[in-house]
Amino acid sequence: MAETRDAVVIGSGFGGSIAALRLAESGRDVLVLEWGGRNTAKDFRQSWDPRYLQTLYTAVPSSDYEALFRYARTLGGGSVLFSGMMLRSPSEVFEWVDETGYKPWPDGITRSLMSPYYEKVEKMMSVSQARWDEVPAGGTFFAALIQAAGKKADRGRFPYVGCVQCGFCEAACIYDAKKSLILNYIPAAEGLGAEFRTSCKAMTIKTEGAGYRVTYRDPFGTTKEVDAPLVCIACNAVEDAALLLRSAPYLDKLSDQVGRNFTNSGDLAWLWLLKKPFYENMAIWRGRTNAVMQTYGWWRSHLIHMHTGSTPPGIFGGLDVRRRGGGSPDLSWGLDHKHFAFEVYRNRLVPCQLSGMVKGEGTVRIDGTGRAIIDLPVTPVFQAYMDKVRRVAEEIAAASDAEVLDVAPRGFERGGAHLQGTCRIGASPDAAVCDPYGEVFNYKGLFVTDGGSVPSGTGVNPSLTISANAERIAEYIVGNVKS
Amino acid sequence: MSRAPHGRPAAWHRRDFLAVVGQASLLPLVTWACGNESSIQPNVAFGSCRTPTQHEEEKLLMLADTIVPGGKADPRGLAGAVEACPLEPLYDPMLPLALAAPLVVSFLDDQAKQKYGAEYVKLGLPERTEVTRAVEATSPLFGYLLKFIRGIYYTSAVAYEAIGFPGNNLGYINHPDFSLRRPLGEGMTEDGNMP
Ligand SMILES: Cc1cc2nc3c(=O)[nH]c(=O)nc-3n(C[C@H](O)[C@H](O)[C@H](O)COP(=O)(O)OP(=O)(O)OC[C@H]3O[C@@H](n4cnc5c(N)ncnc54)[C@H](O)[C@@H]3O)c2cc1C
Ligand code: SF4
Repeated sequence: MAETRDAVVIGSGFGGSIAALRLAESGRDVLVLEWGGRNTAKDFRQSWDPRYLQTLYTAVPSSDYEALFRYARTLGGGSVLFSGMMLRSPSEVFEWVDETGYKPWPDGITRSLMSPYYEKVEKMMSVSQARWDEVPAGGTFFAALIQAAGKKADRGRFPYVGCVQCGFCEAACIYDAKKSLILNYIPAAEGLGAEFRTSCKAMTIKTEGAGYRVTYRDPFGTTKEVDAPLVCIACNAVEDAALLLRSAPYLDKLSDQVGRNFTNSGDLAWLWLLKKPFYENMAIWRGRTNAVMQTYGWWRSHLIHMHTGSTPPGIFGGLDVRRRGGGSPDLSWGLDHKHFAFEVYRNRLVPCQLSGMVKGEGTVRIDGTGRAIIDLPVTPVFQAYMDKVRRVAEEIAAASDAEVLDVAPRGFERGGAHLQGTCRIGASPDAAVCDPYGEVFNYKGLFVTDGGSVPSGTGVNPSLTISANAERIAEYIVGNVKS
Repeated sequence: MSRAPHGRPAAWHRRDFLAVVGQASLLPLVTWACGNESSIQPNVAFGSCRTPTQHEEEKLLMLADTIVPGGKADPRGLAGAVEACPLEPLYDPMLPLALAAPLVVSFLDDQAKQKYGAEYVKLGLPERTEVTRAVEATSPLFGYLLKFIRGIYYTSAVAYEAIGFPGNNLGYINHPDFSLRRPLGEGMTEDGNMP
């Protein structure tokens, strides 16, 4: 017989843990099903060994094999593995109208409406602006490039307290200096009786009585069921869509938008090659994974935001670095490539990671076994966006006599980890999967509370907006949905 | 499509690769940090693949030596992938990419035989480079294996030293040249956020 709960939350990342805490606070008996394991600081390692990383990550290539998407599979979701930049989306994001004239954020959801929710999350997760003495060398180089191009850079914001700059943020923090959800929302929810059941993968959702039946696989591979009048889906944008598509035979009034409008938040990444290092005896690749400095210098004009990262050798090895338009190395491997890497890696490569506003034209589908397949084609709209970004990247390079290097077959790396839009909120089921409060159209009590329901790119790194949106939806559920 | 005498297509396009491996097993093959199906769920698609034999392992070492050459092939005497010796993950059955390896080896041999009438391992670096380049051009999937080899090379202790990677540890809090201060700060933001 199926177990019964007041609420089931699927996924324990930002969207799931926040919903779980708020529902537990409202006195509900909450069960969280989490695909990944219960990993904490004692389990983390300072290692880029793929055999270790595969215990925490899922990676899926796009259907054309041009881009690689990665996301968390561990208790606490992306908060455990992310590089910590937590920024509020600028006002323009909420007012943005896409290239076809559609406004993804429903009317009334504005930056000022979101501000209290942002604040709530920042307090819970101890988010603050990095201090100047926390800026790693990569940030220094980035700021110098931006300054040479006539703009300014500033320090980003992180949930880091007592960071020792070890540089393993994306392999998870062994010092608990990164204040992931496993250190705040999750223990708080557990303290109120919420149960986080790990190594359990939700397979389908069906209607059952006045609510829903969630079928999941437990750690031993046994199929189990749990019934609840309220279900929050929070598996990340890709897996949300896969779960709903696996459930489509039982939920026949779902919007046909499920899995569509997928966006990688306009993420593009590349490297600048300096002719001469700005600071001779300073190695760039040191310190935390996100090297702190960011710029809004091209935000108002281009709706793009850039920040610098650190590219430790393992990540560098994953890039197809080669010269654009000839010049050595023209292959991303071989003797020339190796000599080039040894000459320039230490202090002549400056990485850039960019987010920006561009229509989500990707799709998440499932294969015959129910696994997610991701399409992110380079459409004319996306190509125009990449061209616009390239002009800015070249402009910055030119001001410092630097060069933009190709790092992937189409120049920019365009996969990433910022995934949104597949179950987006909106005014009508013709264009969206959920109503503005995250409730799936035609399914009372079924909500999407994570990146899947965020209707567009977030302009900046998305975790804080995903979280604030989860707080907003959870507040609505607590105030309006009867237990 | 023309067929080589030994029965495989002469040019390996992605579509052929898909046909050989079977769509269902592709995802796990190329997702190196895989876990798309975690250990709690045995993946039936793996049934059609196998880990490399010792003979194939030797060929994979030659591929690694082509991707990151070392030894006598490098006039500067810088260690390459084979000397750095971090290649076990290529054969590790826990990592799904290893299951693609036998197939990759057969692609390389096919190309090598077609172009030079010899097995891949018998060729010199320039010929191996050419063959590898040709196989790379026919399948974006192959690129994942190249990335993987480069990735394990650049995370080896040998490469860390040669590349001048200082190690992931303390930043530049006390560095004498550390000169980033307020003047580079952005006037547009309030504590790092836009309004
Ligand atoms: C390496 C890396 C670096 C990043 N850096 C930054 C950064 O600096 N700043 C920033 O803002 N963002 C960053 N991100 C992105 C950020 O982590 C994500 O946007 C965020 O985690 C998404 O939140 P979510 O709640 O939508 O999903 P997630 O946090 O991904 O949580 C989803 C959870 O659901 C679980 N799950 C999936 N399917 C199922 C299922 N069927 N049943 C049960 N559980 C399931 C997963 O295991 C996971 O734990 C980074 C991401 C990565 C991977
Ligand atoms: S750099 Fe800081 S936050 Fe990142 S893993 Fe190291 S101590 Fe933790």
